[in-house]
Amino acid sequence: MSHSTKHSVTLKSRIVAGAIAVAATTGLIFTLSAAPAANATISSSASVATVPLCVWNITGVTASISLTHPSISPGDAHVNYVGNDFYLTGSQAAPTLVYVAKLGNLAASTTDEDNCSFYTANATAQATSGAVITLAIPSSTGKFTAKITGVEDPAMTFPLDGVTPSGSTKPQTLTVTLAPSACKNNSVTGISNNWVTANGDIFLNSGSSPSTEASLTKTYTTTSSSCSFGTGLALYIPGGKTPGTPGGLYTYTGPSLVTTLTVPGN
Amino acid sequence: MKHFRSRVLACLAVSICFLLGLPVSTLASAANGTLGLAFTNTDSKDVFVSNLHGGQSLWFVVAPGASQSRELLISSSGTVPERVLMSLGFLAQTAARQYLDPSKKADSSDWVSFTPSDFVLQPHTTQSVTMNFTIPSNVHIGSHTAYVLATADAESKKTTAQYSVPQAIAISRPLFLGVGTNLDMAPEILIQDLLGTNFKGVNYLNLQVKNTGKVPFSFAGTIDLVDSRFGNRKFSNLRFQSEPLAPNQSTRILIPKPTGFSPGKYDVSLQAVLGSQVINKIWLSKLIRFSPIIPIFQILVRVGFALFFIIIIAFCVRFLRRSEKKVDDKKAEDEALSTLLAPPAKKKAPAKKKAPAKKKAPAKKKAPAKKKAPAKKKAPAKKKAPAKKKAPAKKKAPAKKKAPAKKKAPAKKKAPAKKKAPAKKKAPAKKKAPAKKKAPAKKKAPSKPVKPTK
Repeated sequence: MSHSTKHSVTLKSRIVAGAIAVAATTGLIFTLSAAPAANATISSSASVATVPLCVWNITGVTASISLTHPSISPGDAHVNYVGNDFYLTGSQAAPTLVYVAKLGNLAASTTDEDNCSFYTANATAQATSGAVITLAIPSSTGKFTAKITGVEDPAMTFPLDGVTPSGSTKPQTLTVTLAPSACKNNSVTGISNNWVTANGDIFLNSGSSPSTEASLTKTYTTTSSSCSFGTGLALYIPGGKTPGTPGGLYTYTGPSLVTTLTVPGN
Repeated sequence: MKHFRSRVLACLAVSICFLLGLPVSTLASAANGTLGLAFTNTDSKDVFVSNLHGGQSLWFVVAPGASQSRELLISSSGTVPERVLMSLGFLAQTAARQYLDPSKKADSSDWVSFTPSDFVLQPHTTQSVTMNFTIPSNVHIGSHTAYVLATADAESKKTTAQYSVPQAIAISRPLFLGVGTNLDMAPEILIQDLLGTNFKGVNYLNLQVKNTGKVPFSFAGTIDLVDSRFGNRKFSNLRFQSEPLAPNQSTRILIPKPTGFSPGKYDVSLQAVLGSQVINKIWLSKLIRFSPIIPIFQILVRVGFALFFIIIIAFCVRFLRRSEKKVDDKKAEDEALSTLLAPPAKKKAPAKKKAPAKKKAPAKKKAPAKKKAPAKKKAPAKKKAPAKKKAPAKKKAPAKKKAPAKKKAPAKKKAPAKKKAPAKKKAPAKKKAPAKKKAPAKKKAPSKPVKPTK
């Protein structure tokens, strides 16, 4: 093959290669430019029988959690407060239970999925709602009140503000230990669990944003959704405080710990 | 009789003991007792609200200067009496979620009242609470949201523990308040499209709608489909109902595909009632086929195509680069050869003799000639300059020096010289040379002296 023929062949092949490259680039752009179908909220329709209305319930929250100063505890080993950080801990006797059931039912059904229904007046569509459970300490009552013979001693009272006061090495905060259990989308089948739960310690101060304990979206909510969680508490009475009545028997009452069940749907 | 009396006395004694012991046990269990709460509401008696969503949601539409009420049901599942407080909370909203923000006050909280708002709920009982919105006449027309909050704690807070943390529970539900008349708050909807969709392996008709009004609603109605080709293929009265749709929210209503329905073109008719409006929508020859909502397969195909195109582009670019390199190499080689062959060009006599032969195969013969000629000629002359093409080029450098500008000029002018070769006059050839400095001419030139050597 002569030199010029080779040249022309090379030129031709280069042109062809260039054309292919351009076509491939166009194809690539076309392939990538077409947006895939977007996700969206999906609603469905179904027929249901006439059964009681489903609502979210919360139960099992003890009226009060008692705290004790364990003999073997972090920090001060004294039995009574002597001016050091004084550890207190305690837990709720039984787990808090959040569940779907008819109004006032004490637990989610474990045998009948049709024990209740989320339905509208014309009974053609489920109007399921998810649930979000949060823990918070209201800012208005955010302090541990020390009392002796029923009278508050301001010197021993302390706020739950997250600050480490002088004379103490621990922040003034309430540690809540959460232990979720038996969380199910459907307590009858018991197969899936799409609950999002907090596990372990969360730290609460008065007025801080509520901490989410558990949540379930409406997509996974059924007529027998259920979740339970144990609650443990711990805190320190800060060191460096001088009681107004040394030697007196003080009682401490914490701020109210509020567990809120929010039903965000309809 | 004695037996009977003794039994009665025994029963009385037990009863007295039980009655005396009850308060003690109640007190003891107060701290350990549990709180439990559930919260619902009865359907709205407002026809306008009922038409929006069956009346179940906590929605209110109240004109300025008017009021409206609703019954709420608060139920206890606790074991101790609970003190319940009713209130409104601030509904904070992000793109992802809505939540109760206890640090803020709901803007509609001044217009609401609960009766009763603070009460004691005995274990396993339900309390009816009337929630009433009274809107002052100077309030502007608009939409408001909030949470209705029922908060409960133990009625008795007595505890024997030295250190304790009291607990409370709350249930919150969102509410919507539209301030305005029914006309002001008339629902508006945009029916975007009707498609076929495959969701989790099941085929559905997919009705896409958007709430373009100021009030939330649940969209319900029926759809009729008639095959565009075969009018006797009808699918009638397919019922649908959406979930509650907030203002500006879009949704897809999935309607199960009727039995016997196959993809194709259909004339579709939609009828619905929204508030007080009757909505009719018709699509003619609407193509309905079922494609997955989450097109994993489609995405994979696209990724495959993209990779394919990228490989092709890479290959082409590589090819183009390589061929460019080849051309450059050849040019360099040709130049090298031309310079190498420049000295023999001085002996133009033999070259010119063979010039006519060049005419037969001018340019094309050059390639082989170049390769062979220098190898044969220069190997003996310049001591081992074998087949390597670049090696001889280096050796040729001195040759260039020997015949610098003058020698190169004639070499370049060889193209015209070839034509005028029969004249054998160097002078005229040199004169024409400056006018024609063509690369191809340079390449052809070396071939002339090559052949004479053969």
